[in-house]
Amino acid sequence: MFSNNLLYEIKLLTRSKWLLILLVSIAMLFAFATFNGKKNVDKRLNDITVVKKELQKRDSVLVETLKVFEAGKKPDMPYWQKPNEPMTVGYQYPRLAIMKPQELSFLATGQSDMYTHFKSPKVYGNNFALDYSEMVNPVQLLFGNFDLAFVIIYILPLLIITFTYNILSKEKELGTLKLLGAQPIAIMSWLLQKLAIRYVIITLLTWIIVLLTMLLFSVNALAQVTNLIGLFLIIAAYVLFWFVAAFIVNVKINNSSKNALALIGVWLLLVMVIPATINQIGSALYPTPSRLKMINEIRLIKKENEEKQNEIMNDYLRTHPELAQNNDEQRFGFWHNYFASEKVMEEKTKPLLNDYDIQLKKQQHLISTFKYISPAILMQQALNNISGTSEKHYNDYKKQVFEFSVRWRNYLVPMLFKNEKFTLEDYSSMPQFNYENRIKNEVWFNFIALTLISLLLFFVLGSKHLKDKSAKNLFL
Amino acid sequence: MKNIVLKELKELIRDGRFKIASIILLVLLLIATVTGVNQYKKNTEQYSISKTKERNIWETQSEKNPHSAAHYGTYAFKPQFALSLFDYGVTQYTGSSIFLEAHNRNEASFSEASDQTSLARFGTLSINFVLIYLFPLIIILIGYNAYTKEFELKTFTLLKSQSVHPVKLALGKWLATFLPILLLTALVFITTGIILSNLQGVAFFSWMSLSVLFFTYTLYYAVITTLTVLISMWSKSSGVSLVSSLVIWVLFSFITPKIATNFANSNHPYPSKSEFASRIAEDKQKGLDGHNPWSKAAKQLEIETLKEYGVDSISQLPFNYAGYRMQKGEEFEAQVYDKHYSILNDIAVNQNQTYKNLSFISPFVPIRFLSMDIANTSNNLHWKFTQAAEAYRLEKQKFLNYDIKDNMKVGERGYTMGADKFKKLPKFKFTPPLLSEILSENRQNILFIALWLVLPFIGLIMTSKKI
Amino acid sequence: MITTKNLTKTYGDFTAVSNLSFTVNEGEILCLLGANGAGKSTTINMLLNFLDPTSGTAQINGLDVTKNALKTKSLLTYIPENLMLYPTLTAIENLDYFTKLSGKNFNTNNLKSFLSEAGLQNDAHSKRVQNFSKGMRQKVGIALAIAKQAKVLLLDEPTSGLDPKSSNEFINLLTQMKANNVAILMATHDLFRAKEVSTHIGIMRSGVLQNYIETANISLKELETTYLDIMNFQNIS
Repeated sequence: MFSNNLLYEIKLLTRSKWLLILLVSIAMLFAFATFNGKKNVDKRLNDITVVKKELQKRDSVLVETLKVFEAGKKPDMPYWQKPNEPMTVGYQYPRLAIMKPQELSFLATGQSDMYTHFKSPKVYGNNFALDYSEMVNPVQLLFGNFDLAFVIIYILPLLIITFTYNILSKEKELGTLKLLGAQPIAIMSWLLQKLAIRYVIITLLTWIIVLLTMLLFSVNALAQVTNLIGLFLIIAAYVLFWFVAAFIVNVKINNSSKNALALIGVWLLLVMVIPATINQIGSALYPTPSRLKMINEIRLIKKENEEKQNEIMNDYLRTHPELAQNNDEQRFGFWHNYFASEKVMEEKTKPLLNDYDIQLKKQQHLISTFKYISPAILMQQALNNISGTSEKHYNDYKKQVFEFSVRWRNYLVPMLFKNEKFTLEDYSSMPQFNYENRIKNEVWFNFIALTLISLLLFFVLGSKHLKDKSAKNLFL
Repeated sequence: MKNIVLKELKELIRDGRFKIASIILLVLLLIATVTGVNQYKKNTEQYSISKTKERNIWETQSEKNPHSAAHYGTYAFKPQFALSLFDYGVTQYTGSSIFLEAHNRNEASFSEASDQTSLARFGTLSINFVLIYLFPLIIILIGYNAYTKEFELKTFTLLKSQSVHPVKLALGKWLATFLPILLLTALVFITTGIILSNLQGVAFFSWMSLSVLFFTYTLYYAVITTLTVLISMWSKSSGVSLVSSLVIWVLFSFITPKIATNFANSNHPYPSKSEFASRIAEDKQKGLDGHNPWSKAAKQLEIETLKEYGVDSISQLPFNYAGYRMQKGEEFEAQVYDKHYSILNDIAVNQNQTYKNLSFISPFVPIRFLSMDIANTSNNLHWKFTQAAEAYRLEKQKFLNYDIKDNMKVGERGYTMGADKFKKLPKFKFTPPLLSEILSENRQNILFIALWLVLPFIGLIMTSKKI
Repeated sequence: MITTKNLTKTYGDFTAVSNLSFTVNEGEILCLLGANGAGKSTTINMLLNFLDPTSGTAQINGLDVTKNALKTKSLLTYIPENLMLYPTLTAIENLDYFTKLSGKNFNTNNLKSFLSEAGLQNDAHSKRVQNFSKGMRQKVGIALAIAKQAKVLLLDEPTSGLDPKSSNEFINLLTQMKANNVAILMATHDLFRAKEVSTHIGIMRSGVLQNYIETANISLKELETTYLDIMNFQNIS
């Protein structure tokens, strides 16, 4: 029966316009989305090149000036711009901490449109509370990008629905189902075979088109074999989920219009309503403390700090005697004071800032629980993870930048207090930032979870129909 | 025709699907309203607390030199507007506080979205979310088979054989699809209005704006109704009609706005923050720095000032020149900022124009923009707020610099300013634009909506005569 | 051979078929007559195992249809009132698909000969069936019965809506099938065709077989009188 079904399913599909429409839609949507994603990544890379060039320009000035100093000359410049002072280097020639895109970043814009991908932590200033937001028109954030993630999460299910909503009900409405029922076949396995054939067609079609569009727009991505396999599997699992939904609706409702309505209802629920509701409830359950309140509190701390600055400096010197041994007290007074008050600020504000991290983590936790309710959420997480554009990646980037800023400070501040000058040799041994993707992408886990959810639904909701092989109630 | 409408409505009420869908939507609206009101209350409260506290911090700061006070700075907070309860607009993505300090124009910082997970990108359940995304689906649910069911049940030929005028029939079907949603929408807006007028500390609530919003959404629903009925006329079967209407809905509310994002991005790209900052720094270097008396620009200013007052040295000037120079420097920097922020705003306006230009594909777009603007949650409003904050910053700088200019003796060291003077700095106030201004700024959107309303309707009338 | 014994189908209080017993032997045609809702289609649906009988049994060639659903289906061919085929497939392809589903496999020439035998003109064999008339589609159905070498033919209102010529052709086909020892059960409203083709006639009312007549023993006029008597009785009660 299978080869017969296969042959005729393909014959029927090629003769109806659906397969062609489907093919053209998938191809166009995927190509356009890949093209857009690639463009966004290109802009990101371009921005990075611009800042890198600027850094090189500044660095060449730095090196030239250092050479002049090392030649024993005194160039004509204000004292606060002399690059042989470690603090000047630390503030005016900061290193770049760049978050390079991953090869598959074009898949999902994720949070990449909100945050900056390069930061220059300075030797002083609030490195623990840097602003990472990027300049962007908020309307763009509101409407979102037309990227592959959007096409896969939102549009692909709709295409699957149009491809499957009437797979059984059409036979009933056409009248062929009665004839089929009079044949010595188990109608349930006939239906499952038909669905399986269509499932394979759609999945293969999607895979091939993804591969082709990558070939066209982003060849390098093809080298990411493991990630690509992960991507393909998770797509296959997502498609499976929607096929299972279509199967259940077909056998339970078995009326084309009603099937379509029911499936659209499921789509709305999973792709729009549940995520929006969880988001709203999540921020109601674990509200991030008001940033306005934080501003007030930080201001109060600053105010107190200002009033107590001398006292604090003494405290600081007591804990850092090695810094106080220098004789040039007046010159260092400022720096001591500065670092001391900064340290106090940092210590006092850290718990405040931690609150945000904690609430964010709680919200994330909520999502990781609720993502099993809506495969759309699960897909979004998975795709963002593969692309390296999830909020976890950006939080980790912030962490890495902060770690780097500590390295940067620890490299320069001892030079200041030991009264050493910054030299060309120091220039070549400066710490460099290297972004490392430290977030596990969990795509295998997500794949297994989604497959299990689909199978569970299939067997639980479809069990009654699966057991009843002759599926009598379908015919009349 | 009344007869037709009544018959359709009767059928609708007897159809369980409509009931279920309406109940689900009402539940969602309830969740949206309850959580929304809570957040609104919290934010409003926080806004007034923060405003008072910050003012207090400013007024009770320790005695210091006016310029130090300028660096010490203060914050401008964006008020929570009443209708933000209805439509969050872009508020999630814009900060609501701006730090006002000497020499620098700062961005509004800390957007809500950056404190949220990526789930927020699916959208947030607000009243507007239900109204703009889900209500059209109810219309489709009601209207997709307005004609096709008559075709399928073969009752259409029976209808035609009666002496009913086809246009009357079409209008009847149209009304029957539109009335239920009109009723639901009215209910939602009246409830919102009642809630808002009973909330404490609501800023800038007006029934007029709410009514205009109601009218706006009603227009959108009328457009969707026309299209749904028209598609039903054109379709051979209910299934095809349903799928076509849904495709239109997806095209309107998702695909077009997202495609517009990409067009906007590639045609009018934003500079990165660091690029923007370095352009400003470059321009700043070319001019007067209030701190640096040795620069070319500073010397030029000195010469000019001396000439103007007809004196030979700055000590002969009737005021403290340092304060004067500081103010001139501030004014120059403000110009630089103004130039670059205007460029930035032009990009934003062009980008938004890209969206609006795609209104001919999707009536969703003009409605979305109009709704945000009326609710005072748009990008446009945010720009007005940042402009107001900047104007206030300049006022503050002038206030402080002129204190140096007028009160500090020449060459005096350790001049300070006390709390009594800090209190004299006027408070920051921001009033949103009037409704009439908003509407006149949205002429293009209104025009597009009108076209969407009229053209398909003409199509409906014409098609009704042909079938 | 089709056999039912005390076949009954009830839906709650409503009895669709009540204690129906009959046998159709090879080479016989039983026509079930009756108004809409008399239980004719329900009987056929039970024979097809589309419905479970509430009580009683139905057998095809001695096999119980509920217990041996697939086995019995391989022995029979069913032609519903409005036989529908896949519109985008040709007559040959449709026949191929359904014969293969029945576990048979024929080459194109064979399939063509079945179609010809069923009276479908040669130039229609390779045409898509979307423009076929009801009569043409039924011929494909008959071809299926021929191909399957069906022992049993179940027909539900096959002649309704056919023009007289097609109707006549169809009846001739049935006569041929009868000659080939096929047992045929046909539900119909058409007294004239029933008298013409059947060997036996059963008149049903409210699920009960009221009258079982050997066709040879009754004239058309008598058949009509008997039928109307039964129907009128129903109206009074």
